[in-house]
Formats: sequence, C-alpha cells, structure tokens
Amino acid sequence: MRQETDRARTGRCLRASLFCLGDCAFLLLVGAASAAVTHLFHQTGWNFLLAALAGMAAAMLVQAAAAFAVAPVLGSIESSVPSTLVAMASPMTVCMLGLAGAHVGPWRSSALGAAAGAGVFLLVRAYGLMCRRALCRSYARG
Amino acid sequence: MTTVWDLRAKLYDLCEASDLRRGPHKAELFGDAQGRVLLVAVGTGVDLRHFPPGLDLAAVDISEEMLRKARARARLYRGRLTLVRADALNLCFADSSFDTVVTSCTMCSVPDPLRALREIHRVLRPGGLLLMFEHVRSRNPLLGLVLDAMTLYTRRGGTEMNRDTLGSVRAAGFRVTRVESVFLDIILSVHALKAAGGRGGD
Repeated sequence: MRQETDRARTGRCLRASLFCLGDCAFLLLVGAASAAVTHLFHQTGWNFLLAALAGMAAAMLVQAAAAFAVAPVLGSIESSVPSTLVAMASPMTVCMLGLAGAHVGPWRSSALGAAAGAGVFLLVRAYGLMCRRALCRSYARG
Repeated sequence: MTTVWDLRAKLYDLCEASDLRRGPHKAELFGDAQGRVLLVAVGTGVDLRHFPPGLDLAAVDISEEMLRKARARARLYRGRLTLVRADALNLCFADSSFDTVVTSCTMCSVPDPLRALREIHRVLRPGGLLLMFEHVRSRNPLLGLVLDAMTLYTRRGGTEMNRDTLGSVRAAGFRVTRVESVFLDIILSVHALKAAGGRGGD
C-alpha cells in the first residue's frame, strides 16, 4: 500500500473540510430558496392544494437549477441527491405550517427551509460515516 | 445510442465530469492499474490524467465525438496510449489480453451492464484486476427512491442512476475484493478479481 505523506494528508483533510463547508452552504441555500418559493405560491390566494403542488414543483425546479450550477465544483450526484431531499422536506414544512393555520412570513419560511437543509446535511454526513464504516468492515484492506 | 453520446460530448466536461471532487479518488483507484490496461468508455478523456505514467493503455468509447475530444488529452499522457472506437458490449480484443480493466461511470450508461461485464471478464487475463469508479443505487430506501425518481429523466440522456452494479460484477464471475465509499453508498471505488482459473465469483 502506498504511504501517505503528512503534506498529502493535510491537503486531503483541507479538501474534505472545504467540500463539507460547500455542501452545507449549498443545502442551506437550497432549503431557504425552496421554502421561499413555496411561501410565494401560498401568498397567491389560490386553493391551498393547488398552491402547495405548484410551490413544491417550483421548489424542485429551483433545486435542479441550483444543483446544475454547482455540479462542476461540488459534483453532480453529490449535489443533486441531498438537495432533492431538501427540496422535498423544506416546502413540506411550509405547507404543513400553512395547513395548521400558522402564519409564517417570508423570512421565517426561509429560515425554516435553511433549518431543513441543515437537518438533511447532518443526516447525510451521518449516513456517509455509517457507509464508510460498513464497507471497511465488509472489505478490510488486504 | 451513439448519437446521444455524441451530443453529450459537447457539455460532458462542464456538467458531468465533477473532476474537482472526484479526481483524487480516481487517482488513488487508477494508481493500482498495472501491465496492459483497458479503459472502457474513456469519454472526453478527463480521467486520463489520473493514470500513473508508463502504462500500456488502450481506451475505448462508442462515440466518435467523445474520442475526438479525448485525442487532445491523450497527447499529454506519458505512456503508450491507443484510442479505439468500440462498443463495451462487443469489445474488439482477444480473450485474456489485458492485465487490468478500468471503468469510470460506465455501467450507468451501457444498455446491458451484465453483458458489458462479461465482455470485460473475457478480455481480462485470469487473475487480472478490474477497477471500477461507479455510481449505483443506494441501499437506503429514501435515497434509493430519490435515485429511482432521478432515473426517470436521466434515462433520456442515457444514464441510469439506480443500478445494482456490484450485483452485476459478481454475476459476471468476478470476486469483489475491496469497495470504498466516495460518496455515501452511491459513488463507489471497487476492486474485483477474475479468478486465476477462469470463472469464479464470491
């Protein structure tokens, strides 16, 4: 097995940290934007179900465009898969609050969306750690 | 099939290569290649820079447009490199003619991955090494569903996001010796061996 130098290890850790920060910022942004878009549709005065469906569809479009934009830096699958989860969870939070009769303004909606993004980021990180451990156990380096 | 990939060659590097993030993982995986090496689906050649110098490398792709773009990058490779237009389902090489076969995001795009892997098994010498950098369906039910949903539209461009590639590798007769996570259980770095006596999966 090739030996990793200290410099290479530092570089690898730095890269991993930067991508981690990038992933987190991206998911916060997608969460906030998709919640804000859904909120806008709930302000149109349309029937609740129609506004919810249109809001969720628009949120998915925002997510797809954002994932496409960051793909060359963060990776296509690495950005699109978690952000799809965020674009589902974030508008649903806004719609559920609307259904419960709670009036939430645009900034608070965006903050809730960003919180959903942070939640998905943490879940994805935890699942990634589980995957690495499981694969290490199953395929120990020979 | 060829037309889809000829069209995708125009935006391939910008949209799909994701080399900034995946490059070091590919370099680590491809660093294990040795002897006579076959790269199946070279694309625009973005992966060529991750191969160690001095290899005797043959790289194939079904798309003439991809190969045209790969030629410029091929000139920078410090080793022997031949680009060949060929279909992964029908490789134009003799049995047992390679020591290592490498694939990089290939099995998501071939129409029949099991048939492609059987072709790879045929051209790989007994005891030869298969190195794969591939994305597969997640075992997590929620992420698996997301990948199924994404496949509904990526399929139009020739990419399946939800394949059980590890299952196909085993079904083709390889023994999977190492799997490392690049991103969750979706993007994987895989080492597999062709049994020294011919067939023999694990």
